[in-house]
Formats: sequence, structure tokens, C-alpha cells
Amino acid sequence: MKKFRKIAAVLMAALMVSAAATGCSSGQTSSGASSDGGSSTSDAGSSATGNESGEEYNVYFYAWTNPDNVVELVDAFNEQYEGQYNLVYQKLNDAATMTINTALASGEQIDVMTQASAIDVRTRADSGTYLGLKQYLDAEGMDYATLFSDSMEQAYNFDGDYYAVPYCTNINMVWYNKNMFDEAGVDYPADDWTWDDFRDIAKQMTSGEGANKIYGAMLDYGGPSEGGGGDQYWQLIAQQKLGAFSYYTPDFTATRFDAPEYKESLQFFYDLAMVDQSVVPISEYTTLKYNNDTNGMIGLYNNKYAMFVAPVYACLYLNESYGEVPEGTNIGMANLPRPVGATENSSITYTSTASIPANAPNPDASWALLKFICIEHPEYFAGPKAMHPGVQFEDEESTHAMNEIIFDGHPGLNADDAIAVMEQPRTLITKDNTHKEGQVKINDLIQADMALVFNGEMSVDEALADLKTKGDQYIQEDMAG
Amino acid sequence: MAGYAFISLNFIGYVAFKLIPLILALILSFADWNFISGVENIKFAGIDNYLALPKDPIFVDSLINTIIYAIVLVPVSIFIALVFAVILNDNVYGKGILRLAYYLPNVSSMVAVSIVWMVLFLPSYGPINQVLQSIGIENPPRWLNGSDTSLLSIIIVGVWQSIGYNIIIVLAGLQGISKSLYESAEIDGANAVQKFFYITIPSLSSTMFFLTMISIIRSFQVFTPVQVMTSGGPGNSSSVLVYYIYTTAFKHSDIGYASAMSWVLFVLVFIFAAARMIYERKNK
Repeated sequence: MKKFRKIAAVLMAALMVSAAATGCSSGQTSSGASSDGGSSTSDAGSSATGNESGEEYNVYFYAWTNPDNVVELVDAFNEQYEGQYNLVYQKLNDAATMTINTALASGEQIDVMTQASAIDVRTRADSGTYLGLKQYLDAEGMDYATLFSDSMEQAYNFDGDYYAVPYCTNINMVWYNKNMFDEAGVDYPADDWTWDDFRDIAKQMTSGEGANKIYGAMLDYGGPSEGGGGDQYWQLIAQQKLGAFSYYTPDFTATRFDAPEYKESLQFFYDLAMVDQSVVPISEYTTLKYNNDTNGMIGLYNNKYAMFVAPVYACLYLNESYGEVPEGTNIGMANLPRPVGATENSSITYTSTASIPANAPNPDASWALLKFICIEHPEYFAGPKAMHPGVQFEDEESTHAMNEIIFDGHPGLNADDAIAVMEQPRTLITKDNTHKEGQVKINDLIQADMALVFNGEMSVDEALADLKTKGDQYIQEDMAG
Repeated sequence: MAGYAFISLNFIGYVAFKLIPLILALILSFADWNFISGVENIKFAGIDNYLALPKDPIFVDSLINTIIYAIVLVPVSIFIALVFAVILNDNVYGKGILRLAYYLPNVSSMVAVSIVWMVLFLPSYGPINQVLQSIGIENPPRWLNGSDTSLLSIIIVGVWQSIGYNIIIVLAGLQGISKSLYESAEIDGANAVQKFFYITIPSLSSTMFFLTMISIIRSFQVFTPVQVMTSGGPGNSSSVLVYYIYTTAFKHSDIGYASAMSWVLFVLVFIFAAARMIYERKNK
């Protein structure tokens, strides 16, 4: 009996060890042909690495988009490349640097990866993670600047090659609650309004106290990041005046935080938050998670504030899948205010981009998908996400068709009004910053200092002086290293 | 043979998930490496990462904050736990429910709990400041939004969360004290205070030592409330070591530097763990 118990014990232990080993090994063999039913919208089950075998090649596309919004893309791509490629969508949890880096390092088959951070593209390109795309652009006779604009070419040209292609351009606008304006008897924002007008309206729309206080506006002027970097909209005026790479001098050897434009910009938002108290304070902004644009739009249509500065895609959050929009909701969209004295409208943009990992097993298939979503058919990927494409349309008809895709079908939004505003002329200034010297540390410093400024613990002058001194030091250190 | 077979599973787990990562972290702490660039791009950096640590103001701030967190949280949470445990050890009405209530924070999701605390701490209309204002405090603290109070707020949440576990441990210690000691003391005329200081406290010394060491080790590993409630801010006023390691490794992808900081943390934790082991061996 004793001997039997001993043998049974050994057998059980051996069974446990082998079960564990089997569990580990089965996880390893799944690499390269993941079939996560929850996130894949299409998977033919084929994992051939080329189409010489006669099988379709599965093109694995990684993004953080809601799978409902890529159904059209999958269908359209698979139809065009029937018998050759089969698009398999893999949903990332979010666009955070860590999420994407972890996926890239996982060893899974990734044919096309997307990202929302410009500096991440630079870091990944420098580390050899991404494939240079110039060879494909040249082979097709495509010119990056012609396709996407000169400023995008300047931002994404790393030593003569390109490692990412923009699939969307996110244009900042001002969303406003028309019902609140009507009740307060305040005129809607004019097409040529200025930041001073914005401030006046925000003051007029602010009322109440404590938990019942209604604010004139809500925007991420200096809140902490959630996942990635915060929007840091306190820079908007400086960016409108100084253009792309706003906080760098033109030769990239120092910062421009001592420029009067930066003083004007920070002082304006400081006064808005700390003097007028007409924008949602940073404490509430952080606690109520307004740094998530979905919550930002929900707060707007629930009358928590009258105006909301956010990219165009915020209209997507009027859809029922993001929350129940109250009956009678009436949301308008206005231009981003222009700096006082400016004669033209301008807006600040950022792009999300797509890249091909250097270890993608079939780069031709990856390029086919990249070209499809970014250049040939942006309406299938950017469109359903209510984003403007990265590629520039050559005619007004195409532009209008895209705007219809973006603005139609959102409860509480008059699409015609929004399209009319959208199609007004404006200068687009990208805030995509791919310059690596000093940037990561400067961005961290901005976040740390602005938290102090907008909590009333640091003055505007102290913050800008600190940013200038330390920012210049970070640039010099990186240049020396 | 059966013995080896039984420990083998645990041993494999220990080697795979603790020992190997520990050794890899040590190796990487002497390297300059972004993990997405692949293993072939690991560059040897000597002791540069360690030399950079004292010059890094965020690391220094994070280390100091971690030490302050431990120094304040450990005695406060143990003292409160002791008081509650002594009360609960006596015949109190609803003892079972009270024990459950005190232990609940310990098994609650720290992320969910942190979000609730963020609302409680809201400076403008949070319940805590409303109470303070109602009793005449005109300028209540800004809690998570003040650089002088953000760490204190994190500590308050930490104390609240750790009390339940501490009470259970102290209660176990209290129930291990022989009643004959108290009976003898009563015969000798000792009052309640004397019994507490001359019997209860000395009898709980090893329990208290265990609790102190465990609490210190846990304090050095604080992360979730900082990540959820303050992101280390305002400024870097509530940044702690594990949070800074996390952002360095996964936000800035600087695995080498993060590994060096991890080893500094490991050494700190190891000192307290070793002290506990030495104490236990001596007592045996």
C-alpha cells in the first residue's frame, strides 16, 4: 500500500510537470498564426507565407480601432486581393507606446502596425524595427511630399527614407453645445473668431458652484497623460504662430520657450483656468477622465460644459455605441480660434501612421495593405473612424465625399453645418514631432511643470524659464551623446 | 524521488519566472537596450546606468518619496491595526462583520479603489473637502493636486488598504497569547493598561517584527495608486521607485536604466528580507 502511494505520488507529480510543459509549449507554437476570435474580423485559416503555394496569404493588421469600424476595410481589401491576400485584423488594447512596443517584440506575425505617436516612429525606425518605405514609393513613382504635404515629408524623412505613412490627419476643432448657447442667449462662435472671443464666451457660459458648476469649456490644456502623452493644448497659440516643431529653434539646437509666442500662449490658458476659472480644472479633468475624448464628448452633450476642443473624430462619440445621447442633443462644430491679429484660420493637427515591421514575412503584402489604407482607399479605414485621410485629395469632390463619410450619421450633429465649416479654408499645422534630440525628456518636463502651473504652484514665467533652461540642456546632452 | 517530483513544478516556476528574469535584469542593468530593437542590439554600457542614478533628479525624488512612504505608512498602519485588533479580540458585538469590513479593502481592486479615492479627494467638491469646509476650514488641502499633499494622499490610501491584512495578523498573534498570563497578572493586581504594555506588547514582538518587515517590503513596491491617481505628479511630487522604473522601461523603452533601478530596489528589499530571516533564526 505504501509503495502504491509512492508510485501514485510520483505519477501525479510527473503528470503536473508534463501538463505545465505542454501548456507552455502550446503557447509557443501559436506564434505567427494567432487566431484570436475576439478581435479578428476575418481569418481564412491559412498561414502560408507566400502565394506561390496557391493559398491566400494572411496579412495581419494591428491597430486599436473598434473592430466594427474595420469591417468595410476588411471586405474591400479582401475583395480587391481575392485569391492573393486575406486581411486579418488584430485589435490592440490602445495606442500607448508600451502596448505597441510589446506587440512588436512579441514575435507574432505583424504585417502592418499602426501608431499615434510621431516620436515613437522615430525611435522604432532608429532601432531598426521598421522597414524603409522609400523603395516602394519609388517603385510606384510616388512622391511623399506630393502625397502627404511638404510638412509631413519634413517630419517623416529620416536620413532620406520614410518609415511610416499617415493614414489619417486629426484636425482640432471646437465642439459646442448649441442648446446651452441658446439658453444663455450667447451667439454661436463666428467663423473668424479669435482666442479672445473664445475666452469671452467661456466666461459667459460659466455658471454655478461646486458639483453643480457648469464650465465654459473643457480642453486638455495641461493634464497628465493617459497611456501616451497628454495633448498639452496650452501650446495651441504658440503652435499656430510658430508652426511645426514649435518648441525647437529652426536649427534644432535649442528650445523656443523664451519666445513671446510661448509666453502669450501659456499666459492665455493660465488666465482661462486660474483667473477666469471658466474651463474644467485640472483636478476634475483628471478625476473624471476627460483626457479620454469619449468622456469629453459625453460631458459636452450632458451639459457639463459648453465647448470642447478636440479633433474631428470626436463626432464619432455621438454614436450610440459610445453612450446614450439625450433626445434633443444639438452639437455644433466651429473652427479652432485664430490668434488675435491673424487674418486666416489655422488648426493644429496630428497624424496616426502605419508602418511595416522589418521582420514582416511578406513585405509586398504589407505594402499592398499600407497603400490600400493610406493612399488608395483612405475612406475604408480613416473614414469610418471619422478621421481625415493623411493623403491629400486633388479635387473638391473627393474632399466633400470624404467629409460626408466623416460627418454623416452622428446623432445630435447636423452634418451639413459641420461639413460647411470643415470645408472653409484653413492652414493645417502639424504637431507631429519626430526630432529626437531632447524631445522625450522635454515632453516629460512639460507635463511635470504644467501640472504645477495649473495647480497654482508655479508661475507662467517660472515654468517657461525652467522649460528653456532644462530643455536646452537636454538637447545639448543628446547632441553630445 | 517523489519529493523531488513534487517540488520540481514549483522549482521550474521559480527558475523560469523569478531567477532567470532576475539574472537577466542584472545583465541588462549593464547594457543600453531598447527591447523592440531585438536581442542582437544590446550594447554593453558598463556601470554607466548605475553612475547616472545619483545624478538623475527624478530617481532621487522617487527614492526619497518611496522611503517617506514606507516610514510613514508602516508605523501608522501597524498602530491602527493594533488598536483595532485589540478591540476586535475582546467580546465586541458584530465581530465577524467588522473583521470582514476591515479586510475588504485588502481584497478590493486597487485600480477601482483608487478611482473612488480620486473622487473623495477632489479639491473643488470632493466629500472630504466638503466635510472640512463644513467644520470651518476655509482652505482645505488640494490632496492629489497639491505637490505638498499628493504623497500624503497616496499614503492615506495605502494605510486604508493595508489595515485589514495587518489586523488579521495581529489578531492571530493576540490569540496565541496564553490567557494564563493575563490571569496571573490580574491576581497580582495589574490593570488593563499594565496588562497591555507588559504582556500584550512583549508577546506580540515577533508578530510585530514580521508585520513591520512585510509592510516595509510592500511599501517599497507601491505602484498602482500612484499610476492611477497621480501619474507621479504634480511635478514629480508623488513619483515612487516602481512607477519610475515602469515609465523608464515601458514608456521610454530604456530597459538598461530601468533594470539598474530595479536592482537598487532589489537590494533595498533584500536588506529588509534578510533582516527578517536573521531575526527569525535567532529567535528559533
